[in-house]
Amino acid sequence: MSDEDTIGAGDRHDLLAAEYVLGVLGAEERRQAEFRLASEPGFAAEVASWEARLGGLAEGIPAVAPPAMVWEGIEARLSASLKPVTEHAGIWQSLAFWRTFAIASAALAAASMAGLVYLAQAPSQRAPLLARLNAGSGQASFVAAVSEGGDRVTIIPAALLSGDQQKAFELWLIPPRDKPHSLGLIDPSRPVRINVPKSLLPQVNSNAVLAVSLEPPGGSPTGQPTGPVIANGKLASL
Amino acid sequence: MERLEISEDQARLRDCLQELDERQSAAIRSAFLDGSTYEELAKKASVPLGTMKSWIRRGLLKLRACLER
Repeated sequence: MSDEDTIGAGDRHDLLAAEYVLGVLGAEERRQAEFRLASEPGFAAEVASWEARLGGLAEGIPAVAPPAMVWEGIEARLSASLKPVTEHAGIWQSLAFWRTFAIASAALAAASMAGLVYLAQAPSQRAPLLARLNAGSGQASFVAAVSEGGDRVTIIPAALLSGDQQKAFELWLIPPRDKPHSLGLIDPSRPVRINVPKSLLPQVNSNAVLAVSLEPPGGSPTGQPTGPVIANGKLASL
Repeated sequence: MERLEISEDQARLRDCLQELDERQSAAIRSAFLDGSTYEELAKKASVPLGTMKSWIRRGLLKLRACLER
């Protein structure tokens, strides 16, 4: 009773998006899906639909602490140890870990992703913002989608970054004529959802730029980018 | 208003999950909530990998069909 025999090619194609959202794919298939997510709008739309369909599964999970606290915890772990970050690969690579803290926002994020899909039917809603964060070479390194309320940013790696394991990747919001504001650390190997601090909400609009810089483990010690900016891009309405 | 819409979606998802085989819906829930891969799920349920893939894929197709009704 093999699927290959009984599930049509078209369905198999659609199911990859569902399998990606569910998180059941092995590492290699997952990388392929992430590549297609960044390069094929049709596939990205399919992923958004499945996020919307399955997001309700996260219901019933109590809300978790705000990401700031999560990050503080991670920072504490990292700075408490003189060992290289690679020693912590377990928690950084653990899908369960990412899910646990992403899950409370999954339903809302799914709703916002669904906004991308339903936009045509609801033109009065505020248009979601997207940004393509390009490296100096002009190649996209990350794709970012902002929820309708502007309060959540989903940032998806679009290229395989041969990461320096000693460095953290920090996301910045740069309003026009303003200094960068940190949105927190991101993972170059998987999508991360970030809650935007309330104080920054008014700045999340199509005039702002998102940028990613390389920072010491735990993030920038100064509150401003201290390492090279490896990718940046302007937010734009869909 | 928005809250109401979300809960309606969730009610529909719940109803549609109930239409699936118990094994299918349990596997899908477990995959989503635990973040387990096909391989891990198959090992946990002590079934061959192909069987687990089949449960989940068939469940997903049924789920989509139900939600789009």
